[in-house]
Amino acid sequence: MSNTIKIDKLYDIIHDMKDNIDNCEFSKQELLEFQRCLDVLEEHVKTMIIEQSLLDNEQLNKDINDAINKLKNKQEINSQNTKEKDIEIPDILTKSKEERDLERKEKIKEREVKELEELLQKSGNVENFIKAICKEELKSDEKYQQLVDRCVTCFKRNGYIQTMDGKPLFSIKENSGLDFDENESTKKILSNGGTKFTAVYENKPKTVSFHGYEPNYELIDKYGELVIDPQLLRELYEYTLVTDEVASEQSELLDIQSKLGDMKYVKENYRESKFLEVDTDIQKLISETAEYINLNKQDENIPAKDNKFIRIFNNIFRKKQIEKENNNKNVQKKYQKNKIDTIMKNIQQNREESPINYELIYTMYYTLAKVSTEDKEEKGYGLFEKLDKNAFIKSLGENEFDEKTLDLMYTLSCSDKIESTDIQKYIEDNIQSLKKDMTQQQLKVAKVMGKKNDKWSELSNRTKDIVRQGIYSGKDIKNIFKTKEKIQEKEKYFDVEQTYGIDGINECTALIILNILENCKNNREITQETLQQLIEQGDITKDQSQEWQETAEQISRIWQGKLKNIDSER
Amino acid sequence: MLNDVNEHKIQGGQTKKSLIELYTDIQILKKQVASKLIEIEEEE
Repeated sequence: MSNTIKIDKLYDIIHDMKDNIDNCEFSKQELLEFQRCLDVLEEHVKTMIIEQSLLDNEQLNKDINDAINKLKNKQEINSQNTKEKDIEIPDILTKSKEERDLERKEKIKEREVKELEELLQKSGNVENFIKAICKEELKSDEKYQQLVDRCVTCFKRNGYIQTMDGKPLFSIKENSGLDFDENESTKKILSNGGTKFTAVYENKPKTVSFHGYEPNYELIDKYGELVIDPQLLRELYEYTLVTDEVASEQSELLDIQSKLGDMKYVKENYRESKFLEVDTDIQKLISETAEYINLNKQDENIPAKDNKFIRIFNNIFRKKQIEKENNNKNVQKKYQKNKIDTIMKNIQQNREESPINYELIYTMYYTLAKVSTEDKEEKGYGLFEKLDKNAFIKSLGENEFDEKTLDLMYTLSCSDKIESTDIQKYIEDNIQSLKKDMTQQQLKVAKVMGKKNDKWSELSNRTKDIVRQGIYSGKDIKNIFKTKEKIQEKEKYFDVEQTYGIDGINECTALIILNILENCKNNREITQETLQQLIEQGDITKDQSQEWQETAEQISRIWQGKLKNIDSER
Repeated sequence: MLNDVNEHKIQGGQTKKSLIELYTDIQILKKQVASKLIEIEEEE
């Protein structure tokens, strides 16, 4: 047989026995055994009720004491009556059956009261209360039902919920639809012998959920103070600003590093004369183009003053297309067309590889074209006019070149021929300048990082203080169930936007949660550290520490649930 | 049945109302058994 007897089954057996005992034939021995068995059961049930009830409520304790006093008074009256009877009837053998029954009943009462008193000495008010409310004598008392109701309510409230110093963190809301799951697998036997239930909501097991529970406002208020601490909020806000600053400086540093990398790449490629190879091609192209234009006087104006240099090639290409249509048999022109295609492809490819490459190639091509044109001018025709700097820039059309590049381009365009050293100097200057910028930026980043670390340290210390305060204040909670107005008042604290000038409440609370509550690792570490200090100082025992640790985590979860609710309402 | 109940501990499974009701019934049953014993003693 299983060593676990389901209470419902047991209840059925006992209930059945109670109703049918008169129909059963028992020997004296059997009845004595049955009586012992019931004593054992009674003790078990008592223990379970005690373990699973929450009775630290002050009003409840007062009621318990009242009930016990009432019971004691009854016992005193009964014992006085017995004494009086003893005086009146000295010889017990002369008493009637009724009198003897009465005397036996009094003895039973005396024994029960004695047991009660023993229990009173052994344990606290909780057990006394249970004992008292279960006495049949009190059933006639109108307070009895109230007491049972309260006990059942407390039991209901605490069958599942973890408690702190005997008080629940939160309890099941009235008419919430929550109920206890009777399923064997959903309950746990706690280390103290009590039973922890898993609640169910809408027929689905729900182990931990804010929804459906009435929070214990005072406890949550204490933690609310933790969360809305103005100094902490301000520090969190400042920390966010510093973090943003670090991100911005780091991003700039990355940008400089990237530019420097690109420039180094250009330098390497330039040394390999990759660009100069293209130069030869373009020189040939321009020469051929100029020749072509010279041969077709009507096209003289194209595309000298046009915008981007690339359009020159496009226009030439278009002209070649027209020419191709007009004279498909011209093999030499066909060759030129193919050449243009190849060069255009090269330009496009270079442009895709790196914008800086493109910039340099552009500069070189432009210069080549100009030099080439000037050469041709001597022969009576020209592709470009002589330009001053403004006209030169205008001729580029809309462009994203910086001042330095434009200067270089113009200088090169004014030169009679391309000096490789000019390009090299340009690249080298750029690298040196970027290196200098990078060093300065690295210093900036280091500075803001230091600021961020200092801020984090302040924030961390403040958080530890507050967590400690929260833990201490959690000890002093007296009233468990409070009115809803309390939590509504608390909602006002969330209006920190006005009070503390912080933009975006959700962002703000999310930050707090992220830094203190939701970030379980940090929160746990901070809490553990604080608790360890408290143990070392002798303020709390190890057992209390464990209980508070659980409490802190429980509160974290409550707040997470609460914030979710707030977010979904908004 | 008596031995079973006597030897085995009751564990878990208590519903919100059944513990109090069970306790009350045990009390009543105890009274009934006590009365039966008194009757038997009287007969003896």
